[in-house]
Amino acid sequence: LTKDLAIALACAERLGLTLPGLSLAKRLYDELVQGGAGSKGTQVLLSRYLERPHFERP
Amino acid sequence: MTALVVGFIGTGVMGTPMARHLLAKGHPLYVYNRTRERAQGLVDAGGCWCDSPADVARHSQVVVTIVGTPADVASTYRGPSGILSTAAPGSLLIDMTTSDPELAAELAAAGKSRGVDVLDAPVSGGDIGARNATLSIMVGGEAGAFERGRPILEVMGKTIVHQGPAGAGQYTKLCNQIAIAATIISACESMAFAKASGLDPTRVLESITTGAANSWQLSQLMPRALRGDYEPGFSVAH
Repeated sequence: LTKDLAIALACAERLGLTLPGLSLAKRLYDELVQGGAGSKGTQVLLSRYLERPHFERP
Repeated sequence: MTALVVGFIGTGVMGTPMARHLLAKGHPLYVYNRTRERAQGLVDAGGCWCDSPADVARHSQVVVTIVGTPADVASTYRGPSGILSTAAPGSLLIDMTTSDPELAAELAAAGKSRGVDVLDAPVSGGDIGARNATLSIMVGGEAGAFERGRPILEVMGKTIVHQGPAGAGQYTKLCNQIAIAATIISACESMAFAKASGLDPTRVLESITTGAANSWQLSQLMPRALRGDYEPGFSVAH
């Protein structure tokens, strides 16, 4: 997914379009890759919320 | 009518079942994959191994590619061993990789200067869609090329829509990925909230997947995640 989201973000930038939802998704999935979950299915995102429910308190 | 000779490049989890459908329809198939062993199953099923993308194109009337990244697409089409170096005028090249729309437009222009049609035709539906030939195929390119490619695409997919000029298929696939990306986040947050509030998330799904909140991510992906099943249908890093 991160490969596709990177292409989408680059295209959005070329189009002069800001997509905060897409940017957030890219950041969360990049963090999963950095955490070693790159080969897991996209549903692994749930584990972040369940194992670290406060990981993103602003 | 004689079955078109088809070249197939990229025999991964998507490409292999897609190529098998083409073989099953009687298309002579020329095959290349960066890792040769992963094409062996198709060769055993009747495909002819080629040593390079250029070699595939030399034998084929239509070439289908589904490789990893935009960089892989570029190297498959361009350069001395690339498809464009040997594709005959009048042949049709169909890239089904999820890739960069601007690269798709560049390849279409490069093809046009050689009398070769190039379509971008990425898919959704995953490995299950590939196996069942139920993929949604989103196509960019000239209308005439789309009509020529349609019979081949219909062997691999069910929903086949011409979205516009070269690059339009890729833009459409990115629309799909943008919609999916945020939907997974919302599905996960809904389940995390269910759990934190003392509910049984699986039972919550029973209630909320029948209404306006439903999505494939919620109804199909969350039950797996709640079981701790993180095996990839579609992987995070792909």
